[in-house]
Amino acid sequence: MPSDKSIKAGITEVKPHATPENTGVAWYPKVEQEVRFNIGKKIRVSPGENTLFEAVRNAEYGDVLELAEGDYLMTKSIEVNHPITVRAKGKKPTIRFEKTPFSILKTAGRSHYMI
Amino acid sequence: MKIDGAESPDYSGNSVIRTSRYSMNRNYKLIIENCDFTDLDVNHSFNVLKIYKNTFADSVVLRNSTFKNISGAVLSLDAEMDDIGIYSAENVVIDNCQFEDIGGAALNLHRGGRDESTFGPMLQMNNSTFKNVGGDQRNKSGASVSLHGVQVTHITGCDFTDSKPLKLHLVVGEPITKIKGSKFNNTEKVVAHDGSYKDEDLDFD
Repeated sequence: MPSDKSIKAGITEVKPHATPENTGVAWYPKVEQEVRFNIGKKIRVSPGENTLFEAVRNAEYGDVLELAEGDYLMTKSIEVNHPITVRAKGKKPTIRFEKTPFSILKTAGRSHYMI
Repeated sequence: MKIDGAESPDYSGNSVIRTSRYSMNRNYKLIIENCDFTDLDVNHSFNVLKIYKNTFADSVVLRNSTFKNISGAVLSLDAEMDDIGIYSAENVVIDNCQFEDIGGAALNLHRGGRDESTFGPMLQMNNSTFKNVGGDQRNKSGASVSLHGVQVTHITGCDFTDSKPLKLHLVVGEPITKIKGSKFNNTEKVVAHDGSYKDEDLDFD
């Protein structure tokens, strides 16, 4: 807190500072609101038909899917229900999709998508 | 990643990524980095992102990516057309991207209404090129980039070639709109309903 001895008025600092942990009732959950990418497992994905679809379906909050180089074909739409990162490992893989949209950001949860 | 629309079904109005059709109970983030989107042109109005009403993006980020040969729009963030101060995305960032042969707009960001209750939407658009963007007759905005009611706009180092104009509709309070160091080759000048935007070092050919 900034201070200046020439100023005689003001408030005194109250300690401890209010934090989510020391305020509010114990029975009310304090869920962290900020979402985070890249906090989960790294999962390798190989080229092929719907391999990425299956990988996203089995992935959990914050997981990172690493795609090997090659061709990926989706015949189903990927549903994104939580933060997920899809990225290339090495050269850029090519993704084609027979059904559009390729990905859907879903209603419930936090659909955060990084590609 | 390379995203190729060649195998997509021959329907109009396809999209690569879409939001839920219903209201989403939380906002979302979409970050696209180092991706190449090509040949989304199997039929008309093939959009990269399709959003529905009652969804809200915390951020939509396009970075180091290319968009080529697309029949629809890249970011069409204009689902809230009731003009009651509701809009579709808070922060939009387009950084170091190339747009080429896009039928619809590269970006269409709409915040309607006359109330001054929101800080957003906010747009940063830097170091990007637009070549032949927005020329499809179905592109109702008639713009390569259309900004309506955007509260903070910073456009720097963008080159527009053979494209529809950058259209601004500056409303609600005093929106901050700065356009710097950008080139417009064979592209109409910035179209704005009033002159309350700041420009610096713009080059029209």
